[in-house]
Amino acid sequence: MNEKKSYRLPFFLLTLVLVVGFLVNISWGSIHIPFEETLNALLGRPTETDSWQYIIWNYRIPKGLTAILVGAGLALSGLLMQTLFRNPLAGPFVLGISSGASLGTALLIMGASFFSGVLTQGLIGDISITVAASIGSFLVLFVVMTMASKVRDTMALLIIGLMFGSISAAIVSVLSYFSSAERLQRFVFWSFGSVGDLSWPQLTLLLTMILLGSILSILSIKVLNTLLLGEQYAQSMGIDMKKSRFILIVATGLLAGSITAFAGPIAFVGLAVPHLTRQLFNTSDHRILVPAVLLCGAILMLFCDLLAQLPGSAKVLPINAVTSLFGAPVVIWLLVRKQKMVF
Amino acid sequence: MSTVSHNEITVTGLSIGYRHKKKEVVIASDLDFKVLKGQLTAIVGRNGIGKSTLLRTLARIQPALSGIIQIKGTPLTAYRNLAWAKITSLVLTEPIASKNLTVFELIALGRQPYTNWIGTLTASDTHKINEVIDRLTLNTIAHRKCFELSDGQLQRVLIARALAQDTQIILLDEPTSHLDLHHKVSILKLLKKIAQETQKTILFTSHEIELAIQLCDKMLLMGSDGFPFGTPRHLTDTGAFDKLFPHESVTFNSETQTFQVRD
Repeated sequence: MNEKKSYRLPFFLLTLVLVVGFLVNISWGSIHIPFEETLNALLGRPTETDSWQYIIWNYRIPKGLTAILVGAGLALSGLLMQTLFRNPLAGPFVLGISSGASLGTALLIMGASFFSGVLTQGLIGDISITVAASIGSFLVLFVVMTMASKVRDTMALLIIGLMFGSISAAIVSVLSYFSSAERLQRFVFWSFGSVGDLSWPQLTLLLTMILLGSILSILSIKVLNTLLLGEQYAQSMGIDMKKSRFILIVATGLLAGSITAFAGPIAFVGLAVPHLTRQLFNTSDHRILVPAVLLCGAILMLFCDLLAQLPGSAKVLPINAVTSLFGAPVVIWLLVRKQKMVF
Repeated sequence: MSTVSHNEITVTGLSIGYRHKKKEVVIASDLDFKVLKGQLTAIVGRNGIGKSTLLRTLARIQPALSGIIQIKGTPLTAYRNLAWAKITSLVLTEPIASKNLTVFELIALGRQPYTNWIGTLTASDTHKINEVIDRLTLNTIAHRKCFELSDGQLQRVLIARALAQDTQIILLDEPTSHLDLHHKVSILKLLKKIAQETQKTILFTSHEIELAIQLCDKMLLMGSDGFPFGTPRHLTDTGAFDKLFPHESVTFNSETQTFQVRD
């Protein structure tokens, strides 16, 4: 925490990688647009064809920004949960946020057949999926938060979150079993996750939520550092654990909840990026880790999105698969190389 | 006789235990003792008698069932969280959550009650930390990570953190467990030295009764029939140690001040 160790260089390099990653990300896609033309479009200069201008501003830039927000937000919420639960296996979804979102979406897409007539096929648009996912995730979060005020043991909360996950997974299975192939496919597609297709207003809403979550996290940095010793030590140093736990859960809910609503349940990033970052920076100080996971998460997501693009083809791989395919080996490699898990 | 102002901790008619819904599980009741400033006090007794519960109650981690605990004449419950953190620091038995902290970082966390919203160390914080590192001769390991330390070293570092918190009272839960005899003695001697040199009030729970008799100013014996409190000499003379454990296992020899195994 003092050490006089400077983290300026790694932060500078990561920011550079982020900027380059973003530029490469938006110049890359199913339609080939030369890099110079991408820059022209970005700088407001005319491009060869107007459609490039349109593609970049209305499709690629929102997608790149979504990738940054999703990666950064998931990574940060993963860090919050790992520190709060002092468990390296915790991620943004331990509180049942993604299962809540899955349940909401599953009920909308597949449950609709149970209530046919109430919800017609036409109603199941992207917006209603977002709404259903938000309602689902925040409902579960609300229940977990109510329980958080009742149970004293933070670890019990972890188990409660996992149990909610099991319950929703079971309901989703039942729904899938009775669902038509077409609707099931729709649900599966949602569960692959996607950072594309967000309109500017949606992006603004996502940005607002991520900013709120980040501000709460930054205000909790001191608490997070104290939690490295455990809750009883934290209490003995004047931290109000109940209040702090509540704030951390709200922050995670805002981050992971909004991301899941807009981009689907993207696994792995939230679990892996904090570990990746700790290995890179070799510190547990949250004053370093909070900005570092934001950067690393954003970078990882940009690159995964890039890989998902399959250049030269209109096909896009499910982002959920790419994050794990690309990210898991990196984490394994780091752990094996260092022979030591830093937590 | 001591005056009121010298009483750091005054416990009157204290009952400790747990509250489950409306049912109370009383672990120990009618505890009465007074701890003076600058004294090293050991809380001893058999497993499950409530040593740690008492320590946690004194540390405000769990509420007392009834009775009064006064710190410097003010009831325990009247302190605000942050004010309390500047009066009492803790050393617990449970392992710390992250051992990736360096020794310096861990000790620096002791300054949390004094630092700003993000925990920036001021010059005086750093000065205090370095002073503690010097006092406990941790200079050679100050920049090592905690997972590299031996149990004995880690215990010294945790005590250093409590010292950095700069509190009048330090409570330690079994600071000598997991240590060999040499390190047990050196930790207890360290606590004694701190109490004498800094006039801090130190309370700890322990199973090292024979060592505590030699090193502590006062002892609280938690037995099945009562909680005698006093100097080791006084407790020996009144035969209190002999009543601490069932006689089918050990008896206390007041000549040698040791426990002897019964056949």
